[in-house]
Parts: sequence; C-alpha cells; structure tokens
Amino acid sequence: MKRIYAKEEVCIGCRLCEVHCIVQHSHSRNIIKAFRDELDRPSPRLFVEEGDALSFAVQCRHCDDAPCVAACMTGAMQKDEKTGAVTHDADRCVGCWMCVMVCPAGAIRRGTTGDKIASKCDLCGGESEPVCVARCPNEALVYEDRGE
Amino acid sequence: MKAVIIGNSVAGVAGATGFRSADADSEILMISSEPYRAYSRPLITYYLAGKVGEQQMYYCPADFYERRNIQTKFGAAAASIDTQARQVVLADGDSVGYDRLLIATGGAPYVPRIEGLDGTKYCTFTTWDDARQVQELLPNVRNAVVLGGGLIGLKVAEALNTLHVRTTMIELADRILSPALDTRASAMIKRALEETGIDVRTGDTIASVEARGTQVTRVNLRSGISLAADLLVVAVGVVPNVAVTAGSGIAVNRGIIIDDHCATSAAGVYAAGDVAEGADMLLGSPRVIPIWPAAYYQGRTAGLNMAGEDAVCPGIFGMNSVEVGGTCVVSVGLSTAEEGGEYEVMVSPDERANTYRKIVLKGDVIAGAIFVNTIDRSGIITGLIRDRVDVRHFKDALRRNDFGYISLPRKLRKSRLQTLGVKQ
Amino acid sequence: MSISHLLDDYQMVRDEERCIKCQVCARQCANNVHWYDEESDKMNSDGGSCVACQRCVTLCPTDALSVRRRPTSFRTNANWTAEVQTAIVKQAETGGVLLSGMGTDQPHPIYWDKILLNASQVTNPSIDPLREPMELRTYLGRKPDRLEIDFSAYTPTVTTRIDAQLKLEVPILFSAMSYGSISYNACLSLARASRDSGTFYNTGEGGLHKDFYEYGPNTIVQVASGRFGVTPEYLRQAAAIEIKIGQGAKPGIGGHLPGEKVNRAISETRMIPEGSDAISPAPHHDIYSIEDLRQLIYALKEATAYTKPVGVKISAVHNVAAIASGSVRAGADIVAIDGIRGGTGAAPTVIRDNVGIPIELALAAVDSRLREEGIRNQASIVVAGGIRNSADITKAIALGADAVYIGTSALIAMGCHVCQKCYTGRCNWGIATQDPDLVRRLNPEIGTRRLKNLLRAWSLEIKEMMGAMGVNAIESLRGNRAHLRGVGLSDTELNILGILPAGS
Repeated sequence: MKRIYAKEEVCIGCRLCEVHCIVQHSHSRNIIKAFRDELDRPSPRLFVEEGDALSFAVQCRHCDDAPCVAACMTGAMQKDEKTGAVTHDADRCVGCWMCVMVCPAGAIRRGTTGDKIASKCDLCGGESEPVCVARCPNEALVYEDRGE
Repeated sequence: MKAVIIGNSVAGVAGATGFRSADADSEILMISSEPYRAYSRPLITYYLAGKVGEQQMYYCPADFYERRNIQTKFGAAAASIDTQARQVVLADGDSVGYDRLLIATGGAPYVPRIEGLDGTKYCTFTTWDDARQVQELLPNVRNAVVLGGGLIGLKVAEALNTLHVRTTMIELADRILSPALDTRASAMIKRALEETGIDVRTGDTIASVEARGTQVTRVNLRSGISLAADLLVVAVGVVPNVAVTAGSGIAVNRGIIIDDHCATSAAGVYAAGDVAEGADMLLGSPRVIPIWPAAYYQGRTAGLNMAGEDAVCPGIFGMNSVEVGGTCVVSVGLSTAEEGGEYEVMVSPDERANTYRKIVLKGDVIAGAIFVNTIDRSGIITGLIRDRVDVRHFKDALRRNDFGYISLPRKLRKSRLQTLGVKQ
Repeated sequence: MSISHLLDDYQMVRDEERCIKCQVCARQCANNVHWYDEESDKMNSDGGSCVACQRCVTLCPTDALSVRRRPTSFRTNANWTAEVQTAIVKQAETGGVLLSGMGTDQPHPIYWDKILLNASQVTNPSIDPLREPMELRTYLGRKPDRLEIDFSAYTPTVTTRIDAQLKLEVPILFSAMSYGSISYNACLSLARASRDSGTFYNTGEGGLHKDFYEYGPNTIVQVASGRFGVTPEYLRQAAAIEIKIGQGAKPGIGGHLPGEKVNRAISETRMIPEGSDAISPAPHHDIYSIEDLRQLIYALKEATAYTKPVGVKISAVHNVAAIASGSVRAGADIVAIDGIRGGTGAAPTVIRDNVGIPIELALAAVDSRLREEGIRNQASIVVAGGIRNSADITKAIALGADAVYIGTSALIAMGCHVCQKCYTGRCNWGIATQDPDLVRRLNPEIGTRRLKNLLRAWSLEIKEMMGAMGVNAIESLRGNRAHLRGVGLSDTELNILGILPAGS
C-alpha cells in the first residue's frame, strides 16, 4: 500500500505540511478562516522534528500490524481492510493514551484542543495525494508504494 | 473442526478473530458467563463516571459475531473441562465438544479476609455489572472508601469523586501504583489525586468493617483511623480465573501456563489474557501480564494456532497508561528498577513543569521507562524496548522530553522510519 | 560610534488580514527579516536586512507578503542618483571595496534587442518544426582544413583524422560555476540535467568532487589560474578541458572564495587547507605570452593523449579578436568568450559594471577576424554573458557562434531571484551557499527537472525560429548574418556586427 515517506535531505523545516494538514482537517478548509476564525482548529496530525540543519516530518506509518489497534480499548483505532489506513474514530476515543504509549514512530500525540483526543494522520481520508505531500514546497514528502 | 472459546473479552475476541482469519469455514463457539456481547472492561470506570454511554462500551461492531459466523452462548458459565473427551462442561450441566479450546476467562477480583466484611454489600470492580451495581447504590452514598491503590482503585476513586462522593483511597504499599511507578512518579499521581479532593492513604489497610445489616457503615484502618463509609469498593487485585481447569490436568501455576504458541499442557487447549501465564520479554521468566495488549496478542496467537497456523506470540511486557486528575502517566517495562547492578537509571525531573521522565537501561538496551505529564511520543521508547535496539550512541538524548528520531544516528533513523510497521 | 547614513533598500509589506502567523517567513529568511513576537502574538518584519530574494513571498501560503522598494525621498537628480549616493556613503563608512554577485545591472546597451530575425515567405518556404526533422545537434572542436575521402571501396570513407569533438544535442551548455561559489545540490542539478539533455556543464575553478565522477562524460573541467583540484584524475574524468584566462564579469582580475566558505568537502575538492581563502591570481603565473598559452594547451593535450578538446575561455575586452585569433593559433579547439553581462559569485561592483564589452560585438568581431584569417574552422566559438532566452541564442548563432553558455539563466531556472548578494553565502534558495541549512532548500530532483525544462523549451523555440527562417539544420544558420537585421543601430555598430539595417 502507498505510504508517506519523508526525505530528510531536502526537508527545509518550513512546516507548511503541518499548516496544510490543519487546513485539510478544519471546518472551513480555507486557510485564512481556519487560522483566524476557528477557535477549535485541529492540531496537525504530522509534525516536523527539527535539529541542526536537519528536519523531517513524522506521521503515522499505517502499520500492517498496528500496535495502536492492538492496544486500543474502545475500538477507536481500526485498520481499514480496503484502504489499509489505520483510522481513528474521535467519537469513541476516551483519551486513555494507550496508543500514544505503543506507537513506535511516536506519531500519535494528545490533541491540544482541549477535548483530549489523540491526533493521528488519516491519509486525508483517501484523497489521491495527502495534502502534506501535495503541498510540500521542496518535494520532501512522497506518497508511494515501496512494495515491501 | 470445532473451536470453542471460553471468555468474551479482549483475549477471547482476538482469539476468535485470529482463528477466523486463518480458517473461514470451521465452527467457532464463544461461551461467556456474562450476558453481554463483547464490551471493554477498562471502560467500566468511565461508564460509572458518566463519560461513556452504553453504546460506547461495545468496542466491536454489533454484527461482529454474525459477520464472522461465530456461534455464541452468553450467560452460560463454564464449570470444568474434560481434556480426554475434549468436552467443556457448563454450569447448567450441558456439555460442549471441541477440537480446539481457548481458555480466556480473565481474572477474578481478589478479596482479602477482613473482619466484618462477609455478608456486607461491598463491591468489587471488574465487570460491567459491578459498575451498574455501584451506580444503583450511589444515591445513598455520601462517603466511599476504595481499598486498593492500583489502576482499578485509582480510576474508581476518580469516578466516584467526579460524582461528588467524598472518597478515600487506601493502599497497603508505601505508594500507589507500586508495581508500575517509582516513589517519585507515584508521589506526583498521589498529589494530583489529592488536588481533586480524594483522600489518599498509603501504607495502610482495612482491619475491620462495621455494618448495619448488609449496609457498610464504617471501616477501621490498621493505623487506627476510623472512616465513615456508605460504600466500600474492594479493588486490591485480580487473580487468574483458573477455576475451570480444576481436575483437568492442565498445568497451572498462578495462571494457566502457556508456551510461545499460547498452548497449554493439554493437547489442543490454549489460553490467553489475564488467566494465562506466559513469557515476559523483559523479565525472562513467565508471569501473568494483565494488560489489554498482552491479552490481544496472546489471544490472536492462540486463535491462529488453533486454526493450524504456526504463530509465535510477539514479545510482550508490562505497560500502563492512565490519566487521573489531569495528570498523565505512562509506565513501560521494568519501570521500578533502581540504579545498581545491571541497571542504569536516568531521571529528568522538572518541578516547575511538573513532569518526570525516567529511563532504565540494562546494558545497551532500554529495559523500562516512566513518563509523567510528558507522555507524547513515549511510544518511541516502547518501540526501542520491544525491538531491543542498541541505544549506546544516543543514550544521553534519551533524557530529553523532546527525544525523537532526530536524536538517532542517521542510518538507524532512516531504517526505522522506512520499515516500521511494514511486514518484512 | 556614529550613526550610519544608509537607509534601508526595501520594506516588507504584510497584509495582516491574510497573515496566519504560520512563521514560514521567519523560518525561511536567512537574513532574519521576520520574527514572531510571542508577547503581542504578531509577526514582525524589519526590511533593513531584506535583499528582495522573494523567498518569503513565494513560500507564504496565503500570499500575505510583498517586498517594496523603500520610496526614496532624495531630491530627483539625474546625476547624483540615490544609487550613486549610496555607493559613496557605503565606502565612506567602510573604506572597503564594494562587492556584488551576478552580472552587471547597469543599462549598457543590449544589442540582442536591437537585432531582428528573418522569416521566410513565398519565395523560400518556411518549415514546420512539428512535421519536419530539425537538427540542433552541434559539434564543438577543431574541424579539419580539408576532408580527404577514399572512394575506392563500395562505401566511401573519410580518411582525414578528425580531432576530438564534443557532441551536443542542443547548442546550449551550462556555464562555469564552481563548487564553492554554488552549492553541491546546484552542481548536481547541472550535472544531471546535462546528462539527461545531451549537453555539458562546466566545473569552474572549483575542482571536481568525487561524487560527480559519474557525470564525467558530460563535464568540462576548468584549469584556472589557481589550478584548484587539477590532478590527472580530474583530467581523465572530463569530456573536455577549458583553460580559464578571464571571466566576463571581472576581466583582468582573479577570483576569491573566502575561507569561511571552504569547508571540508570544498577543501578536499579544491585541494587546499580547510578554512583558508581560495585565491585565484589575475594572470596564470605561468602564462605571460601566447607561446606560454600554447605550451599549456599542448601539455594538457599530451596528458590526455589528444582524446579531449582543450579550449580557452577569455573575457570580451577591447582586443578580444586578436586574443581569440592568437588562442586558436596556439592550439585551442574551443574559444569561449564571456561578455560584460556575465555573472559571478562575487566581484568588485565597479569592475563588474565598467570593464569589458558586450558579447554581441565581441562575437561578431571574433567570428569576422577568424574568417578573414582563414582559421575559423580551427576552433568552435562559444559565447556567454547574459544569454536570456532562445532569441538571444538564435541571434548569437546567426552572428557566428557555435553554441552558447548559460549561467544566470540556469540559476534563475533553479530558483535564483538575482538579488546580487551571492558573496554573503546566505543564498535563500540554496544555490550560492554552503550552509547545509540553506543548501537543502534546492532539491536536486527539482533543480534538474527545471533545467531540463528550460533547455527543452528553448530548443522548441529555436526550432520554431529556424523553421520560420526556412532553415532545418542549425549548421545552416551558423554565421549566416544575412538572416539578421539591425534596428536603432549606428552605422559603426552595424558595421562591427556585420549586419544590414532593417529595411534593406
């Protein structure tokens, strides 16, 4: 299945991937409205790790045998049989943070919007290309099937 | 071929799903003493607190059994097993034949002998009905006492407190959550609980209970303190529910002994979950690992092997995540180990930010960790433990609360981020 | 310490209604123009250090930014312009030589814009490039004086020995830009684009990094006055060798790469100590006469067993025709001429803007002189110095060039916005810098793609212009000045260019 891979050699640490992830998952899907008007705008579901002249985005790997699905006690984390994406049902989540504890990529974080829900990449719900990949100004994110 | 599963919680469900994924045709029968379709045991404290409703308790969809062609017999307790005849005898006298059997009966609450306890309407807290029972009693409860400072005790006390019940929690050990947390982390959780209004007493236990008929009225602690109590919840621990194996010859220690295929000593019989005693990847010796992910992996392994596959159980070790009073704590592996001998301990406390981070190293690998309030991305450490990654070259970076893949050497980072989660 | 009299060149204009405080501008500006003020929860900008590179403007996801030239309220003065005054003030404050990057920005006449092309009508039909094969293939190198053909066998064969040639699929090469003046990723983009497009790039005086050996067949290596990185292996890897005598942006003076830019990789490639200044002296200290040049040319030919063309690169100066002629007679297989509008990583502004002559005039003069002397076939002419589009290329070839070198155009294709601050090493686009934080901004995959696109687009346009002229092979256009006419040119200029005025 296609996954998002980050190329750290050409990541410029601009964090536009985070910006566009927020817009994609906002109510209005409009960048200015999402940032200026939406008080409860979501946190980004991927994030950029930054160091000395080195940065890269980390996001859910949509594992074949996802530890978060194994650990989730509410059925909020599920592996979609058809698309292969690991999805998160915010209505079921109670914020127990078991998934945060077991994700080896550290790709799940507590949401910052006060409703205690874990925030995780959802591959933009099946769009042909996740927005972080489409909008990276330096093509540092690719969406491909590496056939492993 | 007929597969029978005793138990309808996470281990049993994982067993059924595992079996069905390898065998689409054979009959599966799930037997459970409780009348409900599979629900999430850990959610019963959330249910009590009013944070989840009935629908949310079911972590599988309504058509889960139907879609997988699983037969069910709910509200029927299993009484014994005849491994020779390959039969499960139910409490009502009926018997069910099996070719393969999975025992996933979970744990039963342990109730210590306490003077005056017998005959009173005290509560234990391991099933949905337990939660319902407490709910029914609540209108007449002003003061509650929770005996047990473990995970269940904690969450019950928190739930009662949010329902405006004056709650006292009593723990025998010198600190709450003692198997998982060290002194410092435990103190932080204790403080968080106390700030919500819960009275926490450690190093103490109940010596005797006073009652009016079946109604508990007072508990007297060993320390001499006496507390008014309209409700007493006993949550000191859970023991493997091995009763069904009596007389069957199946090898049992504290729990039902299983090998790395989750098979018991009896041919065709498997066990998984809180009832089983299996390998702990970090301890090196088998133990009962009463946590959700362990039950899931053991159950699934058992199910696959029951269907004729050759599956080895993935490495399991203890881990817990809980949030009480706004304070989050995650503990993984040998979290209470102290500096000395083969262990090296690195701690990063931050009083101002109210965070605590502890990493336990054994040689070149991480063996345990505790995170208080800085739990984001703690899973990276869990993954490093599970995969036994040599952390020598970035040891110091492990102390940082913002530790991430950026601290790994380039080759290791790239290899992990590329291949994590992809079946090799 | 007294106050500076210098005023900011630019102002940042931020549309507060559109700004979402994502801080991309702050993160991406290498000159610290933008920052986020936590206390007031606002983005702030100080245009003082802005170089108008447009990086923040391009990356801003809501188009909230623009760079505006700070309106000057100096009294209007055609003589003492704001620019002239500013230069004097800078020198009064620093006592130093003013430096600039890129080519001259002064309004010297651009002759390309005063030369027009022909088109065929009626009597000599034009050619449709989409239907007819059009050949742009070009060979650079020494052509023989005469061809001897043996007709005795069934298949005639050429018996004359042909000297080494460079085969180009398009008459466009990438100009000399050293690893050191530009980044590793920029060099890689040029090398890959050359390989994929069937042309060549030039190492400049930076030596050849080991990682680039695989692109050897598309590499022209330079032997400059500093002789940086010149080893037998260097010569072996190359497809051709170019002796650099001069450069259009700074004729007569040498080059200087500051020690801060000489990191480990550059030190290894140039074979100089890390952190030491890389100074190329003005003359080659072993070339003080044309005979010396001949010696070096033949030394290089001997060293490479006459298997590679050896060329000479000269600046376009007053006696460029004589120098070119001498170089050809000295054995140069290719003469590259770099005009006054040529680019550079760093040059004294006063030299960049005032020394040298436009390439159009130099080209015409050299081509005419070599033809008059009957030696035009002995060397190919490649011209450089402000080639901006396919029309410039077509006109250059009609004037007599075999091919053109592009430098600035290639950089603009990769992201350069000609802010002229290359010498600071803080190129926001990852081109003229060695700072790893900035170099990563130029993704070589993207750089290569853009360069290939540029060559492809220009090739298609050249074919269109050729077709319009009724020419289907670029060789037919070469030196064919009859296809050119001049507008707004004096008699003398028309004479030097060797073209008729439009209308005649």
